[in-house]
Amino acid sequence: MHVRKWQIGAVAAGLLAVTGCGVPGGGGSDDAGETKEGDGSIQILGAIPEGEAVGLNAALETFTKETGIKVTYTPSTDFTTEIRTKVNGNDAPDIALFPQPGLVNDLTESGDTLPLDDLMDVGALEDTMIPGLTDSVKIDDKTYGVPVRVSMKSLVWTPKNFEQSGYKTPTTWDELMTLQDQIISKGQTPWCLGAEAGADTGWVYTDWVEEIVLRQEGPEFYDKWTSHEVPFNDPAIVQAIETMGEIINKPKNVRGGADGTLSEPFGDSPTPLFDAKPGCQLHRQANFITTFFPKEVQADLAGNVGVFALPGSMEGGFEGNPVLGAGDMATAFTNDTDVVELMEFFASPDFGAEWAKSGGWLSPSVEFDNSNYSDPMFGEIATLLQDADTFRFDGSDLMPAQVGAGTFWSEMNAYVGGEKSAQEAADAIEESWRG
Amino acid sequence: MSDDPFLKIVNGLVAIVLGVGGTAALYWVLNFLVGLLPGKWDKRIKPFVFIGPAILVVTVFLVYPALVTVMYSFADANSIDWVGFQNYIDLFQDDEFIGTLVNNLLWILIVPAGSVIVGLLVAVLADRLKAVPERIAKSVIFMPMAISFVGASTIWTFVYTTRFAQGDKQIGLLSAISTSLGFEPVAWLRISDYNLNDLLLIVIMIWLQAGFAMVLLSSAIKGVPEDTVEAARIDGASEIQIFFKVVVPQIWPTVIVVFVTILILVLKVFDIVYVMTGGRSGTSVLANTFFVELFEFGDAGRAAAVVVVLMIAVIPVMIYQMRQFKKQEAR
Repeated sequence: MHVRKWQIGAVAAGLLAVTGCGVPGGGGSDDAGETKEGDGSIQILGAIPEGEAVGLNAALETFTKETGIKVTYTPSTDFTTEIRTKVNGNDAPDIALFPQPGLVNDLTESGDTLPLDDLMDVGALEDTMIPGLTDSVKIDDKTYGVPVRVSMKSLVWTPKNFEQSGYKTPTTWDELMTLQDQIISKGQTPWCLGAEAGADTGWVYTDWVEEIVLRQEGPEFYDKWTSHEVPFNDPAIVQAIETMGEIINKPKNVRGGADGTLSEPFGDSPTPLFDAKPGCQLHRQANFITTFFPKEVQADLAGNVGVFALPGSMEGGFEGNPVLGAGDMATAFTNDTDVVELMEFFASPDFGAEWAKSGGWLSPSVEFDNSNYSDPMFGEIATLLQDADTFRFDGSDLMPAQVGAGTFWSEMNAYVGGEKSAQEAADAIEESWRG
Repeated sequence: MSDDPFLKIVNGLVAIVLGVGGTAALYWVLNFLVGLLPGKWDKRIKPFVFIGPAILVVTVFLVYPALVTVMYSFADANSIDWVGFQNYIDLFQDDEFIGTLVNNLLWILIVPAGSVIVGLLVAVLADRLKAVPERIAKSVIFMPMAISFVGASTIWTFVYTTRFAQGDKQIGLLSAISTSLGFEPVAWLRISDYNLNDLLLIVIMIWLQAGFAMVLLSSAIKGVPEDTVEAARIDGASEIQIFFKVVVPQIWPTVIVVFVTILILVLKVFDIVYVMTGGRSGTSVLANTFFVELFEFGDAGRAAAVVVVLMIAVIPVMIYQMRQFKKQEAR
């Protein structure tokens, strides 16, 4: 990124005066305007860290070979802040990969993103993607993002000798709770859980709460909750938070206890699964976590680690297995021929063959050829995803940023840290939900 | 549009040469033009020519943004509609914001005083050493000054971090000490009783600033005339009396300057809190609240209101400093 001196000055001076209005973005929020001739290079900013982006870069290289357009992907560790700053400072990348549709909606309301309807065939896009995936970036019947990656969050990882230890894969929530007690009675620790992620600490807990809400109340209520038709401090949500608390605060149930989960980095937390004497038997985390496993484990995932879907069928709750997922959405800020070409590349069912080979990635396309996955583990996960009765997007990504990337995280930290009760935390989140 | 480091360096050099050279050339040309005016006008206009660009830059980059910020603080999240004092009302009804103000007050009360006390102590004690040990002692105390706030926070992370799982080695200094004494591991930065976590963060700032205080105070102490101290000794004053009644009054102006300089720095504290706790567990400070409101919640109105509160808090300090400065100049 080439930044001129005067731009630095302008940004520094403008920092205090930054505002969401009066900054001309991509020519209004519901009209993409004129498509210009591209200059042969594209800048992409995204939240996918360097370690996970190897396959993405390989895919982009293929694109460059085919078209001659040079693409530079820059990972950001503080994406939410950086994209806002850049957009407000009129220094937006050509394309950004948003991990949170909520943020796409924010920037669309202030007229900075481009509607894709004017650039490509959105109908075809919807037909080839997992149903409901593009709905999260739909505003007034216009689509603002192309999914480039999905992840399945509702996964539980186990050590390779899990079944030899006499444990059975649970198929209902109750069986999972019974399994916890069985593990404790054998003198072992059920869960590994780490939530520390610097300024983003808290998202691991919100995932848990979302999983529980989805199982306890079902998808319809879940949608009402994420769209704020139901207040955040609804008794059902408070109950879901307390259900998470029962798992975390149960003696001997979680490695390091509640305090340990707050200070254990999420990427290091599954490591004890692979100790000679496993330090824990269960670890609930999305499929990306495999990139944080030790190198020798990653060499043969299917042989070194087991996985099952976090069970549903909670008593009195949703019948069947819901799946919670997330995804990265490619959103355009620059309207030129290069960007259109890359967006169509992202939307094609073949996109990601290179990424599937390097692992840690699941295609958002239902037409993707699953034989591309070099790792049998991902074939397994793809199957679990297909067996799901319902798919829902990560709730905190659907809430406004002040909640989804703000108070929902911080209040869950306060709850787990014992600083607040579930009711107090839920009340504080409800209060912070502005507008 | 190049990522070539060599080109970047050339770019930087060109920017510096053009920037500095251009500015010098501008002044030279203006000076030359004013010199062409008839005698009397030359003298009248010249000061304005030289101070004009500076005033212009300050106006465009400081005064204007400040005024606009005040304006936006009376508008909504997207700076579209006026909302009157609503942002301020919301802030002051929010217990967490009151807690933030209290935290800022703690920082203001403790850090400058703490840095001055530590700096003075080291300066006085080092003054009594021989030349080489004095230099070594001072260098060690001064060293943290060269570390950025973020770097310092990273270093101190390894003092405060804690591991809880049984059998895990403690990699945090404080926890390693406390657990080896038989205590249970605790998460230091989450203990909000008696503002302990705030105090632990404040220590970092004192560690960073004590060196700066020491250097200035040390040179002030060396400037105290020896005969005043001698006279006090002959009159039978104890060392402590000499220090407080003879040395301190003579270095007082320096103490004030150091105090105020660190105070202004403390009002802007952000990095330490952001890196260490992100404002969790009631450790937030004004700058952190502003950052979260603007960049995470996208609420320009409330963010601006936070900044205005901070600006108002700085004004009395500024006025005091101006007066001190004038007094010093008058001497």
